[in-house]
Amino acid sequence: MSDQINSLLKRRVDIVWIGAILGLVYWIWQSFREAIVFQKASFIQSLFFPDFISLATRLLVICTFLLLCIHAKYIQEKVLEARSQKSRSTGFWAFFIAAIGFIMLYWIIDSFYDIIGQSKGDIVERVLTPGISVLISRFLSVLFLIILVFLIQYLFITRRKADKALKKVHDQLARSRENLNKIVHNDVDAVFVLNNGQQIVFVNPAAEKMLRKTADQLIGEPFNYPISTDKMREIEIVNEQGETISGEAFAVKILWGGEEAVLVSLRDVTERKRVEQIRQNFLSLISHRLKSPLIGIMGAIENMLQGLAGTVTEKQREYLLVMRDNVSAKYHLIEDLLTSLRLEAGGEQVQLEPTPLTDVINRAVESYKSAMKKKSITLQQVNPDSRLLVSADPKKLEKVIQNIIHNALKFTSEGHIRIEAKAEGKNASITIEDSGCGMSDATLKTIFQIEKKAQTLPDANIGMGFGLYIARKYMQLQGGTIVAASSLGKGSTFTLSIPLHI
Amino acid sequence: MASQKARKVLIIEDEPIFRMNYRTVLEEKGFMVQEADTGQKGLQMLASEAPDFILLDLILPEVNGYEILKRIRETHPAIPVIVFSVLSGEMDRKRALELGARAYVIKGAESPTAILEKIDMLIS
Repeated sequence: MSDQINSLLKRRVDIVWIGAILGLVYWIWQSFREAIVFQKASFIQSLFFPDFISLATRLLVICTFLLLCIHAKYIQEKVLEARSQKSRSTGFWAFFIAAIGFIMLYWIIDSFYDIIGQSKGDIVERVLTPGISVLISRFLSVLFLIILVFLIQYLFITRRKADKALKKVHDQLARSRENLNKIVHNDVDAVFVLNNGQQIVFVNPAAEKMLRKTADQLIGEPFNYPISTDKMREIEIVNEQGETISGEAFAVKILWGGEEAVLVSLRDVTERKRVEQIRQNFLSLISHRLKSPLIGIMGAIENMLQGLAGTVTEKQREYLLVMRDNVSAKYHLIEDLLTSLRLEAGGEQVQLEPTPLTDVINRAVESYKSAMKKKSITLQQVNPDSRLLVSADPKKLEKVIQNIIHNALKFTSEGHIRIEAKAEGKNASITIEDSGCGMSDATLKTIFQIEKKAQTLPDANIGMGFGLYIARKYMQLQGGTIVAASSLGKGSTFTLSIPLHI
Repeated sequence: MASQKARKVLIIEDEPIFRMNYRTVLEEKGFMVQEADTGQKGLQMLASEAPDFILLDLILPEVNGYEILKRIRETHPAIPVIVFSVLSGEMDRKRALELGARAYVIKGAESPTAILEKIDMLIS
């Protein structure tokens, strides 16, 4: 409320200024009239030493004018307050009314001045027919003053208002720029802006710290690291002090000073990478300690089966085969376990390359052919065009298909396993269907999830089930999908989808 | 291979079962096999009697496989070295090949006989 009063008072002060200037101008003009039109005294005398009547008239006119101005302004304020909206026309009409009022009052006052100051005729005559010279000078006074009112209103109020509004916008801009600067300057991520020629045009303190160079040294230098605006890139930087920094770079296109530019935000992940490396090394070590003896045993069994350690009887051979299968199963279990751990920690990476799909499927199927034969399961294989290329990590895709075939083989005692691959739009689909025991909807929901398996007791029929979990994760990493459908007693169908290489 | 003059192989491998497996397969094919169970011993044997090729494990006590690769490259650059390791990372393979290994075989992926065929191809 007090703010409103203050602003009102402030605007009244504006009007006092207008009044003061108008008063001064009127004063000079009246002196000029008295000297030239009425030829009462010299201009200088009228200006500095008007007689009592003239002085009283002039003060009366100025006061009238001021009062009307203030009143007009007051009306304007009231109207604005009532409507609570800005309206230029309201201000105009308020001043228009004030001006009309002023003209009428001025006219009457000047008529009285004529009667008293110059002893001319009566009030009616002076108001209605003052004579041509007085009429013209009064009209000129009025016109001149009205022009001045609008001029001054523009100069002092409208412009000041505009300046104020402009200043407000400037302040807001400055504030938001300051806030933005604070964010960019205190950001822990390094920020670079690159122009079209990949030269650095802006860096923040985090960037200076990361590269151990000052902004002056960096600006103008080329940014020689691979970045892309559609995905995060991992880059390695060797800074001025020879430290290797691992960074994750995010880039976006922006306009910088009207020019196309790229904003790069670089996150220091050196410490995370170091921890990851330690974990990797640790997994490697476990992997070595667990897998190594099993591989040794498998090799020894293999040698014995080939008769390299003397003739093997049929019974011994049977034992050796069971041993080999058991050791091999444990070996794969450990491998899957370690892979799952790596996947859970996000430490597994894929190398996508143009991959002939038929080759991958053939390789995956190859290792299961003898097992299928032994179980009398027929393999139906519908391959795509041998030239069909998918964008995949060949080893990982092979592993996925192997895992699904492995699964199908495990739950199918007779019938068939059918593998069909074909191009479908931008993807290739690989369908692996078996005529096995199938699974219930409840089981179907959990087959890709490692954590669901941990919640229940080990189920001999389901096994540890890392295989499908790995399959799904591998497909996700390669930008593909895996879905399963099953009906109890009839079999299961797994459908893989992987982007074609374009 | 068996018909050729007996060629000498040095196996540097700390786990006895692997030494046994390789020895069995290699002797069957007519190779003369020497064994070292530590990196240090391997280097000593290499210095006293140069073999025709070397089978080398990477994770070894005393002196590791990478260090041995470096030494062999300095002293016996002509002897082909085949690295056998349980390490399946691409980094390990790259590092070994950069240090002069002729081949990098991941243990467990292939049977000893299959591995030997690979060796055959490499040295003939």
